[in-house]
Amino acid sequence: MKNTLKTAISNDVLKKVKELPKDRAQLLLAKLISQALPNGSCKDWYCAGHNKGHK
Amino acid sequence: MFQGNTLLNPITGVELNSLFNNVDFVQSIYTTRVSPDPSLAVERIARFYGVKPSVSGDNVSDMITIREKLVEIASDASILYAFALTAPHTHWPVGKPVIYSFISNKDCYHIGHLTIKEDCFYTPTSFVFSEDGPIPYEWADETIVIDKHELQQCYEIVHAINSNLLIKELPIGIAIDFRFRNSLKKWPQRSLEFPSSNPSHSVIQRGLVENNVNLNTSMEQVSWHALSELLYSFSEPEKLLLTELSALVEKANGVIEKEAIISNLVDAILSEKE
Repeated sequence: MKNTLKTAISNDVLKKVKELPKDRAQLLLAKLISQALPNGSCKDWYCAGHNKGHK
Repeated sequence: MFQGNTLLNPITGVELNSLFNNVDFVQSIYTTRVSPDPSLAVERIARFYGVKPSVSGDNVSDMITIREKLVEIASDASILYAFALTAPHTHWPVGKPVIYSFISNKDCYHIGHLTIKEDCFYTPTSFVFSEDGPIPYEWADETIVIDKHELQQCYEIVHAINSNLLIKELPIGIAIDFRFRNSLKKWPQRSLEFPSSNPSHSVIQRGLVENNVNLNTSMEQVSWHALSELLYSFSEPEKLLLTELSALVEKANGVIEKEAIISNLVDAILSEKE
């Protein structure tokens, strides 16, 4: 999985992102993450059957 | 009636126990604001807004509003990395406070009904909104060190957000995300919460979905980012880059591969800039 980046992102795109100032690169990544990934998740205890009846 | 604004401070274990002996306080949290499990918390948001929140939360009007107000209020934009918008919920009976504690030898947090030490201090970290000011519903114990100046900045912002909201009984809360970092202004670390073999608490582990096991059962998204579009102001070349990166991530096969791509990208870019 660690090689995913190398195979997925062209050197050209990576270079352009690396050339951004840190605060701009952070914002770009923050936007990318907010679009693609849940900010925070937890397992649904009761659906998962864990700690059932614990309430 | 208690005053929520007075609760934006660390309090002793004695004070925390006393708070939970106050019927008004307990009712103000759990009757309408904090749901008894994550699914119900998300359902409550869906009922209130007529739509289930998307991954970004961009389809929920008050998430947009709160994010915009955060940008207006914060004098230092980097403090906005401290916040997450939440679907307030608990996994435990409502009579006792929910506490975070850092377990250093296992590099994880426990959260739940942990032992309250009377003379220790407990720092409020998660809040619901109310007419009486923001009301905390989760606290960090002394094993969790949060920079006092940054914490104070966060409290002032949470208080101001609460004051600015037209409707105070929102199904959305706000949390200070202190997990696995020594400054709230640093890049947020991803983490996941799991049930523990001990039913009185669950375990929060560092890292990505791919690093964690037993994920075949359902995961519920219970928090959303707090960064407004107003903050970005991307230039045209930046927008183009974002489009290229987004297209790439969208091609990924499932959330694990998405996380791997983004994680490697974060490592590749930010580690060079430290």
